[in-house]
Amino acid sequence: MKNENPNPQTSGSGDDCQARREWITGGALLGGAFLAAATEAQAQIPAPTGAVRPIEASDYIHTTCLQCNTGCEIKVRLQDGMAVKIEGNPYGPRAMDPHIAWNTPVAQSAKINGSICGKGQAGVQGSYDPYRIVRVLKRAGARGEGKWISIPFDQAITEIVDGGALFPQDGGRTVEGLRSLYALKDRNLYSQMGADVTRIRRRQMTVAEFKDKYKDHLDTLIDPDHPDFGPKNNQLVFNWGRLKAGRSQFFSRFVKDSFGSNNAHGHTTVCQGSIYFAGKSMADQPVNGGWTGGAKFYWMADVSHSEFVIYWGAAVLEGNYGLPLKVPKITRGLASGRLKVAVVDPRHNVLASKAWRWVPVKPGEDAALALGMVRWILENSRFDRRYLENCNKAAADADGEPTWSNGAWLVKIGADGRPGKFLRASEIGLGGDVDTFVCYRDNQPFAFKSGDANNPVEGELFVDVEINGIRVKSGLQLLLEESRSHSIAEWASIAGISHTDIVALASEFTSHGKKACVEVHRGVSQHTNGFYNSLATMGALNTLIGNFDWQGGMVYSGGAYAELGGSGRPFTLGDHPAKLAPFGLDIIRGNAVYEESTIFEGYPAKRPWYPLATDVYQEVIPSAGDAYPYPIKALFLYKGSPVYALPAGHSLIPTLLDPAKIPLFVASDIVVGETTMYADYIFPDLTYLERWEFHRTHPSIVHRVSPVRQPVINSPNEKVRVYGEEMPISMEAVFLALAERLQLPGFGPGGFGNGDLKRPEDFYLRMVANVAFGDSSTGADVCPDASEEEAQIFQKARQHLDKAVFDAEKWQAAVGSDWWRKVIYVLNRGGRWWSYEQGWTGNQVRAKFGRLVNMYQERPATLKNSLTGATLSGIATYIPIADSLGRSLDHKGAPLTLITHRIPLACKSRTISNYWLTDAQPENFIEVSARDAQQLGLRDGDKARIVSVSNPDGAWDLGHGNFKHLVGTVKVTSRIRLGVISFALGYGHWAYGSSSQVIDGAAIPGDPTRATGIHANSAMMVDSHTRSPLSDVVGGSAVFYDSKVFLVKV
Amino acid sequence: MAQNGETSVGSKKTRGRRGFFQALAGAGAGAVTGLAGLKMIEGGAVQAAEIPPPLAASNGTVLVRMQQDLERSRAGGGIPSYLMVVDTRKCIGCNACTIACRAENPTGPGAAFRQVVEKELPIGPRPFAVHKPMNCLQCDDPPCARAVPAGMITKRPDGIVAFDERLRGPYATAAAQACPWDQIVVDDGRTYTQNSRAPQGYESRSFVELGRVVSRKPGASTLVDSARKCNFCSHLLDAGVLPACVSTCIGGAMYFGDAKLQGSLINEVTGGRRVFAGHQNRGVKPRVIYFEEPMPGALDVTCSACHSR
Repeated sequence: MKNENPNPQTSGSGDDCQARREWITGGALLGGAFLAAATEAQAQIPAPTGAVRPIEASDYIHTTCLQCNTGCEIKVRLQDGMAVKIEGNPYGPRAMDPHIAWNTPVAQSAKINGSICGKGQAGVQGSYDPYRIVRVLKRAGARGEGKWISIPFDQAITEIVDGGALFPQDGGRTVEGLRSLYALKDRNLYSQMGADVTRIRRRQMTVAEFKDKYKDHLDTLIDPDHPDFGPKNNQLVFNWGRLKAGRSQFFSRFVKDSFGSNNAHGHTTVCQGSIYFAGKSMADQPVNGGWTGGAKFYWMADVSHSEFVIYWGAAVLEGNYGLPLKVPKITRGLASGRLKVAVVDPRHNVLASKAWRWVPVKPGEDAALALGMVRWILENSRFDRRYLENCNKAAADADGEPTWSNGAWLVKIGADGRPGKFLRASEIGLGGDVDTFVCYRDNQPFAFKSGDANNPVEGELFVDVEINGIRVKSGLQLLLEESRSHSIAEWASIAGISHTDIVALASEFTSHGKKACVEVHRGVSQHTNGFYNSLATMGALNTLIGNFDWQGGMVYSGGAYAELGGSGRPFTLGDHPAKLAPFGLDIIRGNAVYEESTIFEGYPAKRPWYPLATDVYQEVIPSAGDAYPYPIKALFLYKGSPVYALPAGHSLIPTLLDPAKIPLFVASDIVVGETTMYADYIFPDLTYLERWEFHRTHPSIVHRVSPVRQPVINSPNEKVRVYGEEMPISMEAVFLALAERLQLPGFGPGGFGNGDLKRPEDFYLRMVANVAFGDSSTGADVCPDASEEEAQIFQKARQHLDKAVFDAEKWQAAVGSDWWRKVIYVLNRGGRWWSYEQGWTGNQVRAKFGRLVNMYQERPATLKNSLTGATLSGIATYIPIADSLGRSLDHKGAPLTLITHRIPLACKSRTISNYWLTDAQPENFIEVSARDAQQLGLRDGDKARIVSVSNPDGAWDLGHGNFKHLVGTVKVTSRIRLGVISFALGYGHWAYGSSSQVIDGAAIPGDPTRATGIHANSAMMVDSHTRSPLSDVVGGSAVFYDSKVFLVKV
Repeated sequence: MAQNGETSVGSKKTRGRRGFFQALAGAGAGAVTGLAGLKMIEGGAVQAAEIPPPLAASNGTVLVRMQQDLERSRAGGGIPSYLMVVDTRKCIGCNACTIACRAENPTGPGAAFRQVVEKELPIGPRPFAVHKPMNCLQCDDPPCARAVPAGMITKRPDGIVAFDERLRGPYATAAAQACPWDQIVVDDGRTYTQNSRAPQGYESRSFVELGRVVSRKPGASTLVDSARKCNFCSHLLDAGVLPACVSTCIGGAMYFGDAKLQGSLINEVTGGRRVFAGHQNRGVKPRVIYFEEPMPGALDVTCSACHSR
């Protein structure tokens, strides 16, 4: 369908008034362009004759879903330019198990559909949403007042770059534009100052010395007395919700490489940050006396081959990573008798009915259950001794084990009895370097290096000795001692389950060799003790049976093809003519050690520091609010809704409302959302069916995968011209336009040095070409050229796309004719994947972690909690739920622990626009156990209000006298633990098309079907010290499950 | 939320408590023990030999084979005899089928050809819930056909119950009321975005239903006021494509095929299986049947926990 935009705004001819009038005359201010497009498409539908024409390959475009973060491979059926039906893409391992061969001609695969969940099926409704914004909105009232004017794209860019008195209603306040934040531009100065800031951190340089050395450039710094804050450029903060590869590098290219800001932060901690950072810590390797190299990831079960899996706080049949990917392997395994599962969760989820055992653990007491199991396993010798004795690669190799652990390595015990760093061989005269460690066997120490592939070293598992006057214990000894701090009965009591549960789980878990797994998710990590819960569950238990890299065990992801280039690949996306190396503390103090900063002033710190975590979502806006460590000047928010998504998200609203704390707030969204409603400017973005991205992989995908997200339909967004190129407004268009206006290197003509970067495809098609190149650096598996037939199918499938989106000549020019047919081959299939068989070699996965798995974490053991000053534990341990200062939480007598869950028909913040989903599930419920309900006098279907110490009124205070009440419908159920209540995420909206917005003076009423249900995050606890969401100050997780509430019948 | 912990996800329309649910309502919340057909299966894995290969096979293998069966059946030139089989053990209540059906067969608010019933069974001490996908059973002796003048509702030779274009207005209502399982909707023409400032084109697109090119917008080929229901996506079958609910079932709970086709997967999976006989007892000879197999290593709840035989 042709995009008939009432106001293209591409010529810059100055006829804004005329354009504006057309806009208003069009009548529909939100989605108005879409109305026109849809109507036209309808008119174009020819009256078909006969029964039905055959399904053809050109009816489909293969792309990648983004209704949740699973990113399943999909194929979208088009009818007259409209996306009408989404199917699973049979080429992709997420949507088909096993997936079909990649070289299957698309003409042959057209009639084969894979499987995709309900959310994925409903994805078209996110694009075809009457509430989509299609032009730039500028705030007309106060922040969050819901009043907007639509303005030309170029005007918005000008205002954001140049600043000024942009909002007369703010009383003459002047906004600093990006031009003034782009203070430090010299890449040499960047690297020199960055290196000297590191010296300051290490106490190798004083602040005075720094100031003297850079006396001519102090005006580029945020605060010359604190050079470790970095340059003013850092006062531009880019924060995102859902961002995947491709777009991630494109945006980072602007924010970091070209603009030079150190503040680009994701949302990891609202998902399951503490598992990610526990996984990272477990994966760190010893290098130059420190620990590094661990990726932000965690292990998951290769459930296609497992015999027993404990799904722990992981509702794999309702949410998780994600339905099409995991469910078929589980249901097939269960029905065939190959697989047995246990569910550890206070809520009896869907899997629990199919499980061998349901263990309704008390929320947050997961480590107690895990350590009870650890104790039983250790005391009954049910661990894999052979695996655990291996201290290095050579020993592991000899046993055919891909990984090894440091459980037998010796840890030094301090005078206070606390374990600290590993003993180095040099400390007891055994030579070696800073990475040479020691184990103990036959009454003597042995030195070894972890990665040594030639000299196998095995150590005794339980060691507690003195060597040369140094008291040492093995990691496993420390774990044993932790597990023995309570009897199994006591652990059971803490966890609120029975002694029998612990023994049964531990016994079954250790009865399947390597084909048993403990797989964890949010239920384990989103607690104040999430990091150590993760170490005790995912970490300690799996390490005891050494199941890593084994078929049916815990697996590392197969990764993605090298989309960004390198090693012979045709394009290097990192090429940049003048790349800056940002430095200085970031606003969330990620990867930063408090004691090394120039603002160390004892304990507690004003706000937590996160030496082990990054992307701490709940820290971005509150830190800006506290101007800690420094004030920010501009916040860019992309595809994120922290107010809605975060626990206690209401605590962010006062900061967002206050232009003094966030002077400029620019958002990118497709609908005015729960957080973007507080923005100064909202740029319309493309939906996932209209744009590019590279979704890559997840831990449980054993294959190498590069699914591609590509334009399937036209965008209703206003078309604009940037670097002379026409395109619909998108986040890329915004960054390109800002770069053009600021004359930033790295974009536009010569943006890659040798190549231009003027259009999104200039970036993304080069990535596709790299995927086409394949795995082998020699080019041995470069993909074939698409046949003439496939090239025609490609062209025909895209005949409805606007030239501003799909221009075959421009696309071909971006990669050159040598690669064009190969790019078509990849795009026709929606990406590239290993064949199914390539996933495993023998009884192990092909893509192995293949390294040391830390049972004892040296780095945490050398760090201090920035609030309490206490040293962190290096071993899995039980820590009671506490606030940031380590104090037990005061719920003022509230009796019910509030948790959340997911239903397959809703994601968090966006699926409310998908009417097929909400028709099937019109609202969510407050799920209450029958006994609790009886005690509270509540019956099924009653309305009740949730009230807590952090929200005594039981309502979201949205500002300007607007409230969204925490009132929901009660569902009495047998399927939840006594004393626990739960609600499904995704409902209870107050924006996103559920409420009225005024645009250009006209009220756009909300749709009441989008306002149903309850979103009780604002009943969750606000930390009394940070006045922001309760957090795991070690692993970074935002805490969802440790708040207690009252439930009051209304 | 209906009584007895039973939720029908997939449609907002009130469902009658007739037929299918009568036995269920009788079981009720009080029946804590002594529920027929309930036992705990303890112990190890079922022997591999007991599992027929198609049931143990991966979804993708099954989907490809069923699609190939369909092509083979069409190429054979004979008249197929379609059968749909549901393995509720593998149903997770995700409603992928419900939404796939809505996209494939455009319907309006509150109307759907497919629902998934969730039933929470108070069989303490351990909770239990079961999911059951439902759509038109394509009865060989359809009660709906008896409720309207002869010829308006016919049995196609392939087994699909077909509605002709005269099935409108009072006839449509009569047909809908005659279905014991409430699987017929009368299209009221409403759309989700009709009251918005930008009604969306996908809601009024043209499509093929039972061989006719139709749409939900006013006009000569409109379906408004017509009786509609599942027809096994016959327009897809004609094109050699599996029904939308079958291919999208992520649990792999759905099987479909031509029961007359030699060596077809549908025959293999049904051969010797225990199937739920409740619908047959009503004398309608359904073409949507449900396995009644125990889930190894889990609570075994058979259909008779809710249904009379």
